[in-house]
Amino acid sequence: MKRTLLFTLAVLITLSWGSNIVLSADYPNKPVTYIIGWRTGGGSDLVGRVLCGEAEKFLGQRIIIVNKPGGSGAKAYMEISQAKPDGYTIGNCTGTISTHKFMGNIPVGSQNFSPVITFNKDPGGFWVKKDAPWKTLDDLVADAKKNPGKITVAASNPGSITRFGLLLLEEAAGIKFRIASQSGGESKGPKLVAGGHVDACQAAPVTGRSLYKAGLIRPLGFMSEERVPAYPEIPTYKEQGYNVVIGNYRQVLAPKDTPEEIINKLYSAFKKAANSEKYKNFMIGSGSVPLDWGPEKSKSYLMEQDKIFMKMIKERGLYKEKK
Amino acid sequence: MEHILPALKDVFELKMLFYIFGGTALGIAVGAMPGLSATMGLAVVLPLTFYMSPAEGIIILLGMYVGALYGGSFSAILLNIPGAPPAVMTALDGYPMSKRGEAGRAIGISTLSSFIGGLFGVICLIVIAPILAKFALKFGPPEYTLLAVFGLSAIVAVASKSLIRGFVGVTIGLLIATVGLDPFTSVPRFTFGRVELMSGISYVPIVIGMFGLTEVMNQTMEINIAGKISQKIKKIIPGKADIMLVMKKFLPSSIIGMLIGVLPGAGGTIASIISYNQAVQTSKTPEKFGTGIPEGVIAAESANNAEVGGSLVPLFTLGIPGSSPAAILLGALMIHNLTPGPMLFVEQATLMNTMFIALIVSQFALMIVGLLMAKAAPYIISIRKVVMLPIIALLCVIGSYALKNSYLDIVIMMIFGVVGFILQEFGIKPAPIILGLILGPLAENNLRSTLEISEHGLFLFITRPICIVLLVLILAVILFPFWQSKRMERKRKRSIKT
Repeated sequence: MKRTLLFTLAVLITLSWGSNIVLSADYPNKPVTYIIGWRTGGGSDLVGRVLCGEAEKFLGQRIIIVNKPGGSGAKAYMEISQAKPDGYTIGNCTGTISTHKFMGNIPVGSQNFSPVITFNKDPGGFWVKKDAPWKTLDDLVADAKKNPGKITVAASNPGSITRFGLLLLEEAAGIKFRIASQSGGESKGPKLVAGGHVDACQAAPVTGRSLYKAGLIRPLGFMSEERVPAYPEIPTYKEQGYNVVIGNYRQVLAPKDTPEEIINKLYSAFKKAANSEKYKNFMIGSGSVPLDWGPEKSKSYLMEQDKIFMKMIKERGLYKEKK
Repeated sequence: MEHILPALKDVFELKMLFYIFGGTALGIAVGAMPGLSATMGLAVVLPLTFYMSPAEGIIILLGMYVGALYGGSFSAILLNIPGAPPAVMTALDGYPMSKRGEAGRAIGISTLSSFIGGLFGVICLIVIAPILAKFALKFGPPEYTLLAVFGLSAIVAVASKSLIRGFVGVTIGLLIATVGLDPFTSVPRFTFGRVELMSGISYVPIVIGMFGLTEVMNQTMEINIAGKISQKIKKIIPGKADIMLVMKKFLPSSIIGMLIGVLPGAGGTIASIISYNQAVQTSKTPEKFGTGIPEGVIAAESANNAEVGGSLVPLFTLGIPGSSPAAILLGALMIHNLTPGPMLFVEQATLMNTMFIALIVSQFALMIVGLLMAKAAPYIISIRKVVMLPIIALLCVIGSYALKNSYLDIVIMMIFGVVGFILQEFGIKPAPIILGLILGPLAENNLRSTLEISEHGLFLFITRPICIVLLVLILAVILFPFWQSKRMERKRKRSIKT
């Protein structure tokens, strides 16, 4: 009896060791590590904690959040891509996954990952002070054409997605701003506009939300396909005749070659989390856009973004990909 | 008034009081642990608060925030490792005090200063928040640049004997602060191709290395010589003289701490640096700072706890966080569908009052827990060195890893521990280095930003009122010591004559 038991156990162990199928079948049987490449308390961190807090209920295992900040996600991308593709190490990315590799910062890019879900998108936007003379993008462009290089606009450093968004407007309208770089992301912009230190800033709807609610600043438009749910009254750039669509997004990534079955299990948990009331209320309330795109759509979206950013990076002479 | 009574009823309920005291105590523990910051503590507890009512969740987080900024002073005073960066300045006088056998007294004074400073900050938040919010918005890149320069002028205060050595220290700090991607061109500077260095070297492992590890090495050198330091402790409540001293000195430091808290992006560390500088400059015996005098602890601790109330001003009035822990509070409010801003005072008046009262109660919680700790403190540092030193070294390792979960940070901590040990032989102290490290990025980013905005280059600085005030203050701080030494000389000459 004892011997049979031992034998069966041995067979089971060998089987589960050697074959992926058995592994995937009982996935997940231990906690999943979720790497966030930004510091605790940052944007990606808060969203990640809310999303994972919901997802672990549906996954049936704890999701442990580990912050590995460094180089706008670069350090975390390296680590996730080098992890074992067994679904126990995943993490999140933003649009920087499409810029780091082309700018020569790290050797990994979107093709080193299997996306699980795209859970949020934050389009670019243009903000001015409440009592600014411009009511629409057309007003602004007309003024900028009369006074080239006079209107000061705060935006993040060159190579960031926020900065690209501003450059796209300049190109589409044939105008030039005086751009004031802001280190540490776009979050300083709205404050500078509210305090009257600059004329305008480029920032996502989520970034300017509080000062907009406080009645100090207002957006001239957002760079999304459709209007942002939290701002039904604000038109998109497209509606105002400027065909530019750009924004930042967040995805959950697993390392490349993670078995499809595991990706699907993760997706089904994260999809439910992304549709939970808690998550949706949080996102819409803070001015962001919640999404629940699956692995296929996320992958093709990544490839599309890669093309867009590679082109922009090359055009500005920032291309330095290491082969 | 109609909203205050229900708020009082909300707070003075057994469960709520438990949450406030629990949150504050937890915050103190997080703050005392090197490497664990207020921000991390709040982020980890945040998901637990999702399932509570908004008032319960926010109360725990506020309690933790209040506790964490204070907790850092424990390890600073007892072990010379600032548990949180704002406690760097506390270590300068707190640790010498405990080495002299006055650990209990130092903690008592730090507790009292934190309590009064914290209370002052909260009262300002309640009474004059809208005015302070306007002040916060007036601060643009030119103002921040000069604030950083003003902070750097504190070198006069921390360099103690030799100004030249102080300058060498600050320069080392400023140089280390340049590591990472250039914030304006995204070109890597001194990263040696390492991804971890792209966003720079954070100052936490350097602080832990230069204060904590260096001290471990110092103590190891004298392990055979020194006997136990006998700790004097009579009672846990600070004596009458100490209470009077705190009362006399807390106000300027608390005002500085609160105002700097109001400014988004400045924070508790800068608050305590500037406050310490102020205390030295206005003291009749500036040379005693750094040797373990209560005034130094009061200046640092009342400033960094007054910062808490200040940092909540822009959060509650404009919805912009004044510090990173405040950013997590913003998230917590959002999760409960509350958008901070002027409307919150109208729509959620009861909740706002509950938060205000909870903030006041948590100051009392801080004092009770803190004074109990003051009693335990002497026992902690009376542990034999052969046992204690390895534990401190281990804490240094854990603390530097915990910040970013990065092994490189442990290596950085060790390197700077050794560097600090060697530099002290040349009379270069860690404080000026930390000063340069913390203020360097603030100065660089805002100076370059100013030049990008300005059409007239540096002239922008003399066209703005707040800038002119700051410029005058900077000049005063730099010139005052010269004036003072001249005056002393004249006095001496006169006394020789007579």
